[in-house]
Amino acid sequence: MKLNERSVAHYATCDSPPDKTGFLFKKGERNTAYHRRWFVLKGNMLFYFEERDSREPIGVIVLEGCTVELCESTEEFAFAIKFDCAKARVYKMAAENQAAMESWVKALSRASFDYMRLVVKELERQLEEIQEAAGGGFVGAGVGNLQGRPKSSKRNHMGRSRSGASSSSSSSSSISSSSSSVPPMSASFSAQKNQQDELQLISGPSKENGVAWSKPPAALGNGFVEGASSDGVRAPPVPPRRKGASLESPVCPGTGCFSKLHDWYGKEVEELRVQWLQSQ
Amino acid sequence: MRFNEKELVLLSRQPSERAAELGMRGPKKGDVVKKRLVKLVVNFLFYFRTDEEEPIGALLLEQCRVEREDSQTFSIAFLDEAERKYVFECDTEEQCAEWIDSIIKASYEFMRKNLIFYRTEIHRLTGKVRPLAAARRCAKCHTDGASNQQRSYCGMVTVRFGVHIIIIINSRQTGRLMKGDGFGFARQC
Repeated sequence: MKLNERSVAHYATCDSPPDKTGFLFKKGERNTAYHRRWFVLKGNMLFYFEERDSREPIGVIVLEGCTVELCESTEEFAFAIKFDCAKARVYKMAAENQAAMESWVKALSRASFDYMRLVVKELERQLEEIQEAAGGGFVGAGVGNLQGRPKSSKRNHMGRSRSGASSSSSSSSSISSSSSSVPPMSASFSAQKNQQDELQLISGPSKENGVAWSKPPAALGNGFVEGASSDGVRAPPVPPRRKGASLESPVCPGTGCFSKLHDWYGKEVEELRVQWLQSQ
Repeated sequence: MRFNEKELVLLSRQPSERAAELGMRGPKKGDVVKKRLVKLVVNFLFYFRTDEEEPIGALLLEQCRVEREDSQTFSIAFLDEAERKYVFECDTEEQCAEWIDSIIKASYEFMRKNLIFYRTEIHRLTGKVRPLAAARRCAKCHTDGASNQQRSYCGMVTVRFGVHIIIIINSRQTGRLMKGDGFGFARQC
């Protein structure tokens, strides 16, 4: 069966980060002696080189569907890579010490694409839960970009996560930190608009400006840490409201009512995010 | 470069993400379009002659670029030899778009980037990393390994290394196990 061997060998030595590297002894197929080889694990491919600085691998073991077993062997710290197919070759390996053996068995057992898929799905689910708990309309849309939009040219190794990560960090900064326009307004209205999910971030009802922000951040039941931004800096106290000043946004009428103002700012953030994404 | 061909053939028989008959043209000058059964399994693209059991070949889909060539055609090129393109002709525009999307998401590296993104986001939003249920579960049979169970026909089932390691107790091994040696003879579920 043909394989794009040159490209596969390139994958072994390219600058994508390996999952694990190290020396292992590998038992030869016909020659039953154990040979010391340099192993590089990338994803579900286990490459082996003659020397650590060899430019090309001698071979590769595709690990998908394999099981890793400790084995009875005269060789110490031995384990085997086995496959569930008839007349499959058993790859007998030995590590240099107990810790290395355990570490390799662990890494190889988790090296399958299926396992990785499982882990990614679960993290995706966890993130969704967290976002729902935070009432996050902002952050959620950023994650949606991970699905990727069909474009004329895409590179496999770039993925889409970069644009996803950046866009959600720019939008969710409006939830947690003091740097955007929303929180200072929400602090003064926290007593009135408790049903707004975002306001759960501000601790306790407060009818006075400046007090809400100086309370220490408390972890809420949903796991959301309010108040402080990720670097632990607390928001500065909100300046006192000028008597008689309108709270309406000068740019948008009818926003004296907080929920309207909140919606309006929300739209602005949404538009900004869309613009930013389109510029990528 | 040696590779475990038998196991790769076995992999080609596993349930696929996507499979269809497409027109396929090789990267060499003078290669013509041939009808092939193309099958996407994990990060490999296998191609068969129609109705044959063993694939003619496989393409590992790491470090590659997928491009739309025209409304119904896409190509795969590998970064080390960007001019050599494998070209695939689909029946419809929609099918072409679906294949492109699937192949992009088929690389291990793509999944790794997703993983990093989710982990970073979760950490940023909650300041903590939640333990994965998947890590407590056996990677093979998916049973929850949070508790140690004793089975009658074999020894302890314990989650170590992220998978069930079943310790088979036989008279020869009992002595070692009682010494708290760890494994003796162990195999995955």
